[in-house]
Amino acid sequence: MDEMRMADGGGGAPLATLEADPDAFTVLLERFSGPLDLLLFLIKKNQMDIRNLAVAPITDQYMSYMERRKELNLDVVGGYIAMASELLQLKSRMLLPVPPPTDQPEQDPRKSLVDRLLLYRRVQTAGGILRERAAEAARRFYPGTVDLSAPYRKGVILLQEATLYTLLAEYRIVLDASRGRKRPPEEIAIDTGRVEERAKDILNRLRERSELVFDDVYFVAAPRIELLVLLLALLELTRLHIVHVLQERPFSAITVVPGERYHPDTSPEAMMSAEQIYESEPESAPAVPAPQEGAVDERPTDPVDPT
Amino acid sequence: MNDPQTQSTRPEPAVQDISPASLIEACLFVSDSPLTDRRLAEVLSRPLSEVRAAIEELRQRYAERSSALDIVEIAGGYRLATRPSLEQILARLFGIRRVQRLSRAALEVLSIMAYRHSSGDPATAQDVEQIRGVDSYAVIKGLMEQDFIRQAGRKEVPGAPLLYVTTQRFLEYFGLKNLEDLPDETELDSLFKESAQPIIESSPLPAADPAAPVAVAADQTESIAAADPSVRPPQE
Repeated sequence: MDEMRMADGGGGAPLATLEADPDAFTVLLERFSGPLDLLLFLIKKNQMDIRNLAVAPITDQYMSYMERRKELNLDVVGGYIAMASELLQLKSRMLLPVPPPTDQPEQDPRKSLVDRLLLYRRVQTAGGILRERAAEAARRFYPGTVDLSAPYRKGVILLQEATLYTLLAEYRIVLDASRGRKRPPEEIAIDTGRVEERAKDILNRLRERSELVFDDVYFVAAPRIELLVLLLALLELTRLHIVHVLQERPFSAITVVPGERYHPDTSPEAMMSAEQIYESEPESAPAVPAPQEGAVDERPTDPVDPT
Repeated sequence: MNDPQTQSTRPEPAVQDISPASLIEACLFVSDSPLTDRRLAEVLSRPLSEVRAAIEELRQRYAERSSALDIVEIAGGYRLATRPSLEQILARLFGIRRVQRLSRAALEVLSIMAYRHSSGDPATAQDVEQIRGVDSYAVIKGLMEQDFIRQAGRKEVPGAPLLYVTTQRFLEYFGLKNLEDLPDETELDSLFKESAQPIIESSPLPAADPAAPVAVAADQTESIAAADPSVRPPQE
């Protein structure tokens, strides 16, 4: 079997073997923490002993993973390529006829790699232990440590009121969450959201629900720039007293509710324009040829019932 | 020795009537970082042995009462801590939504640095890269920012690379007494044999149809990447 693969010249045959394995497609290069991790995986998959690994099939399988890789960060891919060349060299050395035994004991050419694998496996085991210890340690609470600087828990807000900093902390959490989904951008949107547009979105949502929980306002999957624009929009609306940002008690969700300048029957544009702040009943105002008010009245673009 | 707990309805007890164990309890209660037994001995002006005995007494007291509290040895000192079983209730109290977990890469880098630190031979970034076989600069930087590791001088070799050691926060985060509180190399190797840890956990996503053409693999990549890398259930 292994001989056949080698005869086929690498790529094709191992790929076919992998195709037959339902797990193969779910384990892509991005899931490995490095070339040694991939090697250990392959060794285990082939049920080999690390100390006596069959270089040829492992090298072929390794190369087929390399071929099917998606874009990796350049720093990371360098390690994989270095390992690939090391394996290929090792494979060719293993194929050479063994020279007649000399006085000096011939060192196994695999030794260096095997040593590295054993050491790395130890590191992985230690990492696994650390993970367990962290999970166990995180179950305890200590005096005076539950706050943003708490060593073991992040994403906790201890402030009494929703301040700029709590908002920013929330923003960070959303950002982290969105960063976790590393979906490569399918298209690059340019200048997608202006602050006013976002403020309008918030107000339109507020009209539907009368109260927004902060997490609702944020679209977790949105690109970072949009999240930032959204945060700025929220801050702008707060500044204009159109919305209030509240936190009822420490750690509760941050909610957005209408402020004193909020008029449910007014279009968002009108609320946000400086003139409107001083007009108590904008809807009853007839279309006056005054330039500012005219501009305001002509732009109720959102589908809002004017009565 | 009088138990001050029974005096709660009486007038304020005098300091000399409060047992050393209770004094230590008070120190631990107000301290937001681990206290060493030396420090406690210093504060209470008592011999070290007495302090240690008192800590043990306190621990016994909590155990006998099925107290929600416990005394733990962590990061070179003692701390008052809630019992792990109360985790869910307390998480509710604080509205904790999630616990951030470190990536496997981060855990690997930390293990390397912790073991090298404990053997008195701190690792450089190059050492870490050599052992992991992959550039680890970004991970190291992240761990520095999160105060898990810190720089500790430079190695006296050409290029004078920076040396890294683990921090107090590292010990606290992982609930370690000290750096020796990690299994040694032989233990690690035997642990590996026993548990046969999966080298890579299988993806929580439904497995691809084995008959599916290669093109399916490309689609799967994105969904796998979208899954939170920290939420990999230990399977197998």
